[in-house]
Amino acid sequence: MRFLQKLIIGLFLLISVVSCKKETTWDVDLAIPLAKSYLNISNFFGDTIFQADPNGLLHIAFSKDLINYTMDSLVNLPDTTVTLGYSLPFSQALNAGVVIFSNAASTDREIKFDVSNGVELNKAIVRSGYLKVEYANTYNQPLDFNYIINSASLWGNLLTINQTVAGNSSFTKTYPLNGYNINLTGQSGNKVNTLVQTYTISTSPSGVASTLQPGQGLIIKLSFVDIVPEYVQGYFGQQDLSFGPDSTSLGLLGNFSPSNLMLTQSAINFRIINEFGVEMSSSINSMKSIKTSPANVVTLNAGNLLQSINVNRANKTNNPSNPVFPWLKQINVNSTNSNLNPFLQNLPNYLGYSIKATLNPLGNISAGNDFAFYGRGLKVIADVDIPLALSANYFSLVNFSKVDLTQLKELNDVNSCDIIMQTRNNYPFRAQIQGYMLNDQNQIIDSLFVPGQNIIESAITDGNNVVLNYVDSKLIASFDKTKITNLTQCKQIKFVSYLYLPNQPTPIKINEDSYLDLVVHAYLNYNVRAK
Amino acid sequence: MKTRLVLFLILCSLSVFSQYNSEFLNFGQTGRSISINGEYELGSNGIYNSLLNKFIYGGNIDKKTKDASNNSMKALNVMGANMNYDISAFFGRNSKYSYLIGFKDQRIFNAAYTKDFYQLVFYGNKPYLGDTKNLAGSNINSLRFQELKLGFIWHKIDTTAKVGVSISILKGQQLFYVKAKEGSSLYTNSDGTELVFNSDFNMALSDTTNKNNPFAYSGIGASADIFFETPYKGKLGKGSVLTVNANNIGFLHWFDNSVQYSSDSTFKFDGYRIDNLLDLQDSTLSAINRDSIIKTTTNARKESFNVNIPTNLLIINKIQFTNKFYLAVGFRYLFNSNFKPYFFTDAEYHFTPKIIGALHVAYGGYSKLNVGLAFSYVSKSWFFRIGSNSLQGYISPTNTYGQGAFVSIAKKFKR
Repeated sequence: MRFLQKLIIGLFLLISVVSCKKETTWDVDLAIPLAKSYLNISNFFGDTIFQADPNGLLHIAFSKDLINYTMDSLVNLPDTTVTLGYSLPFSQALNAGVVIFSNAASTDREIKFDVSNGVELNKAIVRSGYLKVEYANTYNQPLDFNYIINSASLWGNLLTINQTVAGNSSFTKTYPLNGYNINLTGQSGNKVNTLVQTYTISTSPSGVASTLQPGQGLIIKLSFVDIVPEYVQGYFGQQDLSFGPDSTSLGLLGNFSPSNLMLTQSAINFRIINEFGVEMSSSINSMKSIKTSPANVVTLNAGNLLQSINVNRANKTNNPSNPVFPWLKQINVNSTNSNLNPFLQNLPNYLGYSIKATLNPLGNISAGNDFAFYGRGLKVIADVDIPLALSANYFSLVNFSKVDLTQLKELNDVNSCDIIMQTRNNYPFRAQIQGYMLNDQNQIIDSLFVPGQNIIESAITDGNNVVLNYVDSKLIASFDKTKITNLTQCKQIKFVSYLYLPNQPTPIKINEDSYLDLVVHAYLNYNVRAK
Repeated sequence: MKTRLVLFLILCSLSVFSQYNSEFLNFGQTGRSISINGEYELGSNGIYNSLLNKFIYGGNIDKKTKDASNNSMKALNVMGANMNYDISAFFGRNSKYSYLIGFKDQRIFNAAYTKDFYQLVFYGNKPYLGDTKNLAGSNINSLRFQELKLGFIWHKIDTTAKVGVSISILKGQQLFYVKAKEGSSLYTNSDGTELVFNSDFNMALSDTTNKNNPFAYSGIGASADIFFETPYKGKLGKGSVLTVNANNIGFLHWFDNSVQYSSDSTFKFDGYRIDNLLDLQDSTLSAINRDSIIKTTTNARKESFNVNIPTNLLIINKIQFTNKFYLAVGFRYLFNSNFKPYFFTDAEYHFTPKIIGALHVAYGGYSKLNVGLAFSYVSKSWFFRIGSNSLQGYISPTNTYGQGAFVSIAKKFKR
């Protein structure tokens, strides 16, 4: 038995020795294609704001909403609460199943909404909201509450509540108002913001005869809560609307910085779109080009183009899916009727604005037929158009690319590596590119390219900077073991590019067919490991 | 009586020849016993031992070592390795036959490779810009499995002959198989910006999740061993013995988690398309991933399949010339592998009744010329053997092919 034990132990020792073999390694030289790309100007800026005109010239073209003022801001049906009920200061013997109160002849037939800003509504269709009813019966027998909103109908049926409230009980119920068409002209038909209600209180047939003691009875608290209209109609008053001073972020070209930029032309088309059924008078009092770094503000001077703009009312289409035919006014501000070139050459981060509008400047000329639909409103949109025919000494671009090479374990076995970028440049500018490796503290720990080996030469151009032919270049990023280690520790790469324009101040034109072909491949010395 | 003695001596000395992966060959020497046996052989007819040693002992393969094999190899070469260890016992009370039970771990590796394949593996593709490297005919077949063996040996047939049979249940641990068929090649263009891979190949992998775990249960199979041995009187010497042994006759069934790849297409790779130079994170770098490259370039599928394990055939004819000197000639072949026909001769000398030495000279197999020595110690209670059929690999690794060693220890049961 001892022999067998020794045998087994010996066998395992032998297996262990065999299993503990060192790694086998050798070096190989690899040539590996990595990437290729056909880059246009969008790829440089990481944006999709470029559009070509019929002549092939690229434009920076984008739209920015300055105002989007919708119905819920213009007209608001406030939460409204009324209390109904029946009680007596003296005792009363009551049989079961008899009506003890009706508001048919009382003064609480109407409920009036306190609508702000002088808005006088005669009709509303509810999109969402509910009627909350709090019941409290202090009588010792059940009472029936029959309630009708005579002004609210859905598919021809009035809003009706029949509720039995058990003796000495209280509770709350809610009733949805979605889709109800509400007439707000009151009992007489010539009021505003007013609806009509009818209700009766009866002893329940399910109860027995009893005596209603002084102070006992039924208390009902009715609340119209969170009413969002789908449609409102009436007279919206002579409201003064003010938008700003405020600013809106452009979020464009934030990584882009020119030296001595000169645009040849530019335009902003202001579109005023009125989807309210109400006349207005408006003015765009101020437009500012705001650059935060370095701080600089340029105010747009377009004379009276943006002042005293009469805005007509929209019309109904009677098509529920698209109920409004909006009124549209366009005002074109360009480099000839304003200082728009300096305004845009400032490369703003934000557009500052101050806009005012007055509703119904001529009063209630619609005779209470102003209207508004949910989601519709007043919009002011700036359509910016900058043809890429421009001059500058250079542009600088800064981009950050997140990198996580921790999963690429093979990098640890690379002894050295040359990443070669072969380029074919059809753009009329020379590019100098450098990539800085940043650690998790955003500190630069290394760079990608050796200065002098990071130039993409400009295409060949004539004296007017018209491209005649492309030019090939080769960029080499050499990585030794240290640089590879830095690359694996790198969390992002900060790419800093300078685009140098030829023959300044002659403008260059960036056309749709301009391109930069890029082929990236690597020569690497790799340490193969085998167990 | 004299004839019986001669025959007995012949049978005893036969088992000096080892490294043939069979328990039955030892029986004549050990009788009923418990033994542990280990053996390995490694060889190539294109790669020198100095390079192969790096795969055994580890270490860095320098350029000089790579160049030596590269400068001498043919267009198509073979390589193989077998490594086995086992514990087994012959037992029983009947005088005519004994039972066998054993456990064995086997690693069987064999490959064929073109010189171009060798160059790509050990030098990379950059030194061969503008060249098409031929891969056709290259293949790798690597198996590891464990077996539980049950059998018997009938050792009193016609008083002197022996017949042994065993069957084994196999537990598959790991399979790696790849074969590049006609037309397979890799072209790298003149500046390394384009690779063209003519990929006509099949590939099979067992469940890769636990390939290094010896207890991994990735497949199941069965095999059989057959052993036959008979003495006869020939024209030469005092007597002769003919031995025929075939083992590892069987197959392995790999389970559903096994993966098969096949490809018969031409892949041109000139880099991943990137649309944003400044966003390497999502597009380029994540795409440079070995697994994703395999998935996108091959028809990968998980399914079960069967493979035949390489079957070992051994034929030995041994002649006794004197009471102390024996000479054997033999032939060995491994089916389902890249093993070349292996012809050998063994000259054996009995220094004392207990100590035997043997000289082994052979040509073929995975390597070329092999020269080996073996020594045995045989007592009433113990049997030891140590030796190598390819000593040249240890003496001059820089210019020889093939190496191997074997060792056996047996404790004989009392009769």
